[in-house]
Amino acid sequence: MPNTFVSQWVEFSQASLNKFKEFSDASVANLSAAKPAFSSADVAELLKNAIAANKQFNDISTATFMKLFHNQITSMNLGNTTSAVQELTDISSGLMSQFVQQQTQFVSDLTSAFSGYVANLQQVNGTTELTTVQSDLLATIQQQVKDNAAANMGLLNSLSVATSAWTEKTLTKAAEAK
Amino acid sequence: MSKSKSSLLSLISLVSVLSTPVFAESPNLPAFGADLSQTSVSGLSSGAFMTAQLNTAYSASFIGAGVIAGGPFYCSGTYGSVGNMQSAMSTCMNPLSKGVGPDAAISFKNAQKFAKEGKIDDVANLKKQKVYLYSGSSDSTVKTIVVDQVKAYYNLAGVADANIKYEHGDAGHSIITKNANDVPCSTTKPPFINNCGFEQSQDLLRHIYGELNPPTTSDKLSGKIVAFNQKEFIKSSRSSMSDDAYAYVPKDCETESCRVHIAFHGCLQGAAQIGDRYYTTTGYNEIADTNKIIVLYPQAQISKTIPANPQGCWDFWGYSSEDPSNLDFYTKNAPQMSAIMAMVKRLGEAR
Repeated sequence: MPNTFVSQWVEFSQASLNKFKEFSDASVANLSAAKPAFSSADVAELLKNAIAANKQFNDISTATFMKLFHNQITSMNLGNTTSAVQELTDISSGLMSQFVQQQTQFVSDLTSAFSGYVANLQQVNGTTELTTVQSDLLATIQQQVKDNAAANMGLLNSLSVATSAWTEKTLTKAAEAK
Repeated sequence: MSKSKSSLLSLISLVSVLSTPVFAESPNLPAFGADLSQTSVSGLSSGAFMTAQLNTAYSASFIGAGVIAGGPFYCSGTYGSVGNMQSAMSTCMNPLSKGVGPDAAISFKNAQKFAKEGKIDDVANLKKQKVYLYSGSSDSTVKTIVVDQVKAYYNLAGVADANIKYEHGDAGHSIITKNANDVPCSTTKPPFINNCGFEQSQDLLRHIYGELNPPTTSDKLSGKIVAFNQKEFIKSSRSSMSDDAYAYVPKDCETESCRVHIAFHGCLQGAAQIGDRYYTTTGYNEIADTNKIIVLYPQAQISKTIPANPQGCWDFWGYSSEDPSNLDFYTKNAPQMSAIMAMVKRLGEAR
């Protein structure tokens, strides 16, 4: 079944995620460029920007999602079928809840990696060890960014599946009601 | 050919044979004359989905099922507009809302349809099942709203509430033990065997079989783990099952007729990933030992190419089906389920 809503949403979300990934990659690249002298301020900036990017993504996602939802309802000419609208709201809430949960975990993991880095710095003995510790932090952050991108793609899949399922259920109910 | 040349060739042949690595196959699964009228099944995660699937497809062969963090039969086919794999990873695990999650009514309707088509056993057999279910509040891999639908499914099939034991706790995604060295209860991490202070395998077997003798301890087991050639039962190149599998056979079962329980591991829990942890430390063997139950531990394995099964999960969405336009993973002819039932049949044959 062609579903403009789903394809529009997926397209939008993929674009948003790409932006988010670009930001993450750029942040990690900046840190790499600052080696061997990147400071706690550099990492704190990365964390701050990550949180801001998450919030921005969340806000835009919510607004776009709801707008597309309303268009979908209108195009399906369902009127204000209470249960269908309620289910859409539940999907939206579920999406945001899982997204926030994922991003909270992401930021927590970043913070934890940074705490480990600070602890290791206190024991560093010479520039070779400093380079090792910084490389380790970069590798950890890169992996976390990658894992987070994968988690977001999983969420996109859930959203795509949820909207298809919702459309199928709603149309089935509408057909049964006739 | 001269005698010396002939001797030299013989020597070369001998050296060649001796230097060829020999990979001995495990022995075939022995027959134990088991009582197959008392067969049951349980599993975690993909093993739980497989449990609900096998229990439905071969319902005439089972008396009970234990579903730990899994979903209802043919969950991945709930919505026709969504691909089975996509649905398995979302609808059947962590749907964004209850309204777009698994639907017991659709699952049961599908089971009725497949039974009518002769693809699975008569769904009327389901009403005699004893069913154990578990969902942990810290499990974000398979949400409680998914497991809820398994209960609703069996209710629709006519199973009385008294025969369904649905337990809740704060476990992460795992099978539960009381082993101090296992993962802390509310955590989700490999090997997905968590210490929540009780032996879940034993609880589910008690629910299925009724009152049982107390379990023994792991150092006093009378029987033995039998590693056997699982390949013997596999008829498809897409099964994603390991060459070897395992069974725990109590001493009594070497001479007497015992019951059979199938225990499915979850994704990333096959022997290739976690060694013998699933088939020796999850508590099944200790209670099986004192109650004349043979525990069969079939093994799925990771397949990174064809079929695509990168986490070594049991098939509840169709990777093992030869024809993607005609999925058969849920039928009695499915590669994995038919292989497993052939193992059960072997256990029941005369010694």
